[in-house]
Amino acid sequence: MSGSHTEPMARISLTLNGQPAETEVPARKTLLDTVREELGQTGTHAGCEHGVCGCCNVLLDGKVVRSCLLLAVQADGHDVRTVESLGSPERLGPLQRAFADKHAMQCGYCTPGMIMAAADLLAVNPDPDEAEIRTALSGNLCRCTGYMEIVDAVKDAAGRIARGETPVDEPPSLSAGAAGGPYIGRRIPPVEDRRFVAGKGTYINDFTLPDVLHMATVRSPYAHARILSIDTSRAETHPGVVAVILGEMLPDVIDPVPQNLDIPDVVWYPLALDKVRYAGEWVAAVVARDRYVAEDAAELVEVEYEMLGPVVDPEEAIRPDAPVLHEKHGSNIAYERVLTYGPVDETFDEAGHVFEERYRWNRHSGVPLETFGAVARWDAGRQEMSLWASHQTPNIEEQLAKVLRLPLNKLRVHQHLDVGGSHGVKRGRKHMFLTTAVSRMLGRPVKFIEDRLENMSSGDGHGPDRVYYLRAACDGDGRIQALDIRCIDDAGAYAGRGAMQLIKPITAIVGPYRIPAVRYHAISALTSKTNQSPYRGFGQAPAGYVLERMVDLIARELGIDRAEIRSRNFIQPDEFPYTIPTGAEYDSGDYPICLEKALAVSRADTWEQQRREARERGKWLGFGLSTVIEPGGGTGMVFAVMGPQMVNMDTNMEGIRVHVDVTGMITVTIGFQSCGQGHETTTTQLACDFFGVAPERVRIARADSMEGIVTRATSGNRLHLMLPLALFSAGRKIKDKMQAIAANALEVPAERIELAGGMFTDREDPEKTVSWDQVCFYAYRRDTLLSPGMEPGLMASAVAKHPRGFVPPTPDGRVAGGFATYTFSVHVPVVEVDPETLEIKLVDYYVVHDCGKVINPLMVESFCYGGVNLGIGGALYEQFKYDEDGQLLSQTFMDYLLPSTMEVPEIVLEEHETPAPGNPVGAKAAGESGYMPAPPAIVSAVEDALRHTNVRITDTPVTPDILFGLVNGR
Amino acid sequence: MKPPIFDYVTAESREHALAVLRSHGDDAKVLAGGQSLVPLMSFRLAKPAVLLDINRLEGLDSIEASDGSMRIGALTRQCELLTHPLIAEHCPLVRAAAEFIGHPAIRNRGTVGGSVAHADPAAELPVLLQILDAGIELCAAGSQRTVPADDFFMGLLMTGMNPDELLTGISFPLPGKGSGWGFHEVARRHGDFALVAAAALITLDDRGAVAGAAVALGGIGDRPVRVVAAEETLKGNRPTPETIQAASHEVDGAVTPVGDIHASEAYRAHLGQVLTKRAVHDAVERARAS
Repeated sequence: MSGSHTEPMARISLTLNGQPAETEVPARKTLLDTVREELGQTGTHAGCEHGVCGCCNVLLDGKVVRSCLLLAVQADGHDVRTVESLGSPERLGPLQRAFADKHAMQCGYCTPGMIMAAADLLAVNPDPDEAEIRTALSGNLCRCTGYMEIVDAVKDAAGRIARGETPVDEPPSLSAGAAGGPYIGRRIPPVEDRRFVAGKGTYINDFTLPDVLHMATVRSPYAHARILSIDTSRAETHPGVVAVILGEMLPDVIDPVPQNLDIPDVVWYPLALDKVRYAGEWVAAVVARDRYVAEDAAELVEVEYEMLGPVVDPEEAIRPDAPVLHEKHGSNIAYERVLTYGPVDETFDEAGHVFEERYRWNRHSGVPLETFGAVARWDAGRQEMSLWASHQTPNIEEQLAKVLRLPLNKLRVHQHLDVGGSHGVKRGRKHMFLTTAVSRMLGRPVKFIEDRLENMSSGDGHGPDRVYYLRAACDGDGRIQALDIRCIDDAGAYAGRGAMQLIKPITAIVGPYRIPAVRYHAISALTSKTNQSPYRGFGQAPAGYVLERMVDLIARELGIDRAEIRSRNFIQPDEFPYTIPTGAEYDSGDYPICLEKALAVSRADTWEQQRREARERGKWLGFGLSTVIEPGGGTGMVFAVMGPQMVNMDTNMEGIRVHVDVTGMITVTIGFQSCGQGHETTTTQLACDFFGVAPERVRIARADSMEGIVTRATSGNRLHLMLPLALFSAGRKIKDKMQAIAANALEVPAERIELAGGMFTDREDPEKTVSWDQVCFYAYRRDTLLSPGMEPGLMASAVAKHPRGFVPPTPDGRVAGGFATYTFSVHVPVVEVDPETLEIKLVDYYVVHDCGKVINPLMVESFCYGGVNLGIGGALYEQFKYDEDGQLLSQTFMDYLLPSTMEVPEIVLEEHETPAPGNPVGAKAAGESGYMPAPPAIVSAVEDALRHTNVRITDTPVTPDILFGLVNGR
Repeated sequence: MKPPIFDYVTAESREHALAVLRSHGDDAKVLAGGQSLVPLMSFRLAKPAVLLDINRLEGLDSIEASDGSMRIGALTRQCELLTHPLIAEHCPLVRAAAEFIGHPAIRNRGTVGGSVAHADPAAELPVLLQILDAGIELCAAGSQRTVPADDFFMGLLMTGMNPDELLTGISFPLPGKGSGWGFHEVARRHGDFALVAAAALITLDDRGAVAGAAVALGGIGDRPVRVVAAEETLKGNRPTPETIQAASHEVDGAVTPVGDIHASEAYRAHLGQVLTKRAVHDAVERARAS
């Protein structure tokens, strides 16, 4: 008996941010929900709602506490302060300013809680050292940064406070951080950060509509079972409940979730129909006046199941005798293909040495601190659907139109939200289909914010999950001649994006090495787990992991140094563009020099001595090494090897609109929303340099899906390749027109006009000038100054073509072109292992990174540090672990372990710039090469620390417990 | 993840609190710091009909030292253990162990009594109470008793408390002259619950032999346990590295390790030995230096 149905209420009065506040709340309502929903302070965020992540930190009577673990009624009569108390975007307090200036965030979602923890620290310790800062912030998790930026910001804030700095009035503008151009290549603090530090980001949970209903799911407790009956009567009559939606209602109103594979008998709806195929699968959705009531009623839905055998292990799943999840499909194989490039068997037959190993890359993922959320509104009068969601799914409006059976021009997907982290996984397709469908069914706006359990168990947000059997043929010098790779990927219960992630690695399957022959046997297995989403690298990371592990293995067996064997196999700088056996073409790079720099910066000549010194103080020290490729700027055509259904696009375009208004201000409209990548800042930098104007003049707007901006969103690490192309193309049209108008005004030929410093000047008579503002005015108001046939106004759009031409793959799966750019990085982590407890501690971390021309170093560095953070997680801590019954054992932040300030060491990063030939600013992708090289490098370091034991580490994550087993031969 | 409906009662006085507990028994739960209870409610693993908030009770958050013993009130926030001068002066072991409890935001709100009553076998305070021979003060309407720690912790999240009882404080004799302490813990990450935590309190006699020994482990089994066999091995002997090693080997027969996704039984058993050795070693060193 869980209390009565009537909601006990409590009247509370407290001091919130220095002001008296009074409200009546349900006694069970948390302080977190109360300050956000009743008291209008949305800077405090929900991350886990069980006290682990720190996003919801507030000060209670001056001390930092978790507001998700405090009932609002407990704050009655107390003093509560949230991030909003420290300053506003126009008037940042010293802590906020320090976080913004140091770019101590990307998505900004964890930032308010982090700042409140720092405020608590600085109140009692005004001059903390690094260790004290790290300890004080260890209960605040961040997925975007590497924490270093945050530690720096706290140090900086301590200095500002010590100097007596008080909030100063300053508009939230890019110029605040950088006066005078050029802007490309500068360490400019992102303009977005100023709203984030003030708690003024607009995330999906901050967005609401009048009369909105809230949704919660009923989830399957079993991994595989037939649904015999569902009784919703108790739930439906529960006060405050509006509807209980079941899977059986959906086929009448929506199409199944699209799956990119030719598997018509794997039918996927957001709610289970006749069967559940994994523990956590959504069986029903309860819609109610608030989320509390929706969760109450979800417990009252009674489902009767007939248990079937769970399908947990991917290798067992593909055996003929395994229980089948989708009976009509006939097996648990979603996709299988053997791709052979070059003389693989012949090479193995003649090889001097053949090495083989089995590797296991276990399930982990981006796990952003903001869960997925969506708000949908069906406008029955206009027969139009509007959707707001914390997503980064390319062309979701097209999928929605198909699934909802609506014309595309009756769908408006808004794109102006701040997304609280993604790292690829914020797709939420089934969430969006369900929320929109339910809104249309009920004729009411519906809000669905996943809670952490929904997110972890059933949000389709898991990353790749693979078993690899790898064979390598090489000569006596360690030169690799062929690879034979068999990979079984655990896709989850429906195809999702698993199979696509399994195929992407063919774009860089040989890494940075000259390997002439490769076989890739890819099997996508259906299992009793939630589905995969794209995760940082789109399936590339495990492929890089096993290759690097194999290179280490060969080095060890042949007695060759790990750096030396890599050097011997590297593609050389004069060989670019270089075509690998799969047909993918690498654009540029200089691998040897990056390796050389990495060895120098990590002082490789002192490694032996450091090892000896560590031994003397009772520790085993290990140095890791990985050299990994990051393909950037995705091409859809790679996926065409998966079958004819995928040969549906041969470009991957991006559009933009530039509007220079009558007052001379520039609005650049992009068509997607960002998850912390700082596109408002980089796009402003590009526009400032292109037009030679100051950042105050530039604003970045985000168009919804009905405004005609062609976009493929943030995916495949492509926008900093595509945005310059699109922006410069649209900008060119406007600049040409302005030059013509200036020429008309000055009565000189247009080709003599040049634009510099905000003035259009006659090159032959510098006295003849007209200002930017004047030309803008003429463009809108002086028809007589327009050239014949010229339209008034300064507005231009452009859609940039992908710089690589796309050609369909050959029937045997050879692709042409591959990705647009190939970034390279070298990681050298240093670990210390305790010989008795086998605890693993990262003590140092070195990275050399070549992503071509860097548009904003502050941001690129943060991508890299944050990537290392996630890579440390995947290597040492994070795993979605299932038991043999298919129960997810790590669905809370108590069990799924995200690295904190204490697990991520200081990272030393050195940039090397090999400009990308296919891009106007020379930029390459920068989002994945912090993450992808980290797991192989860290595992290499751990193995190195244990080299006297001859232990071979094949699986991720490697934990002290696993090391204990390996060392003891278990 | 929202808590289910409950009747919220603010305890106005100790008597009021005890009356509420007596009338509701198992249906009522005491809310102190809420750092364990509120997540359990949000997961809907705990659904008390009545939530009795004792945070406004007075006189339950004091730390006192007198006559060779220390008493810590149940509502004392865990952060106090890090900064309170009496603890620094009389029992630095408590401070050292408290540093392993969660993070600042957790310790600012979490209470000593809450941690003890929750009886998580991997929490730090229950292990401490074991080696300190602490008594847990339990109060019911019209009665009061003090239960020795070893009798109090009965199993995973299970204690010897009756549903009508309120935990009001803990008390323990202060370690005397010639004693030293050691505390070691291995957790997956900083601030996590211990995979295994070991605490030791050693008293040396004039000759440098072990006069008194208390060794306890947390995290390893379903409750914090005293490793009596290890204590017996040490007592009366000079604490040489060999003796300490031998004592740590006694962990094997003395506890039944549990396995979970973070550590296997075998690894926990191994850690039990290693950390016992380290805790005893530190305790001996500190005893020698005292």
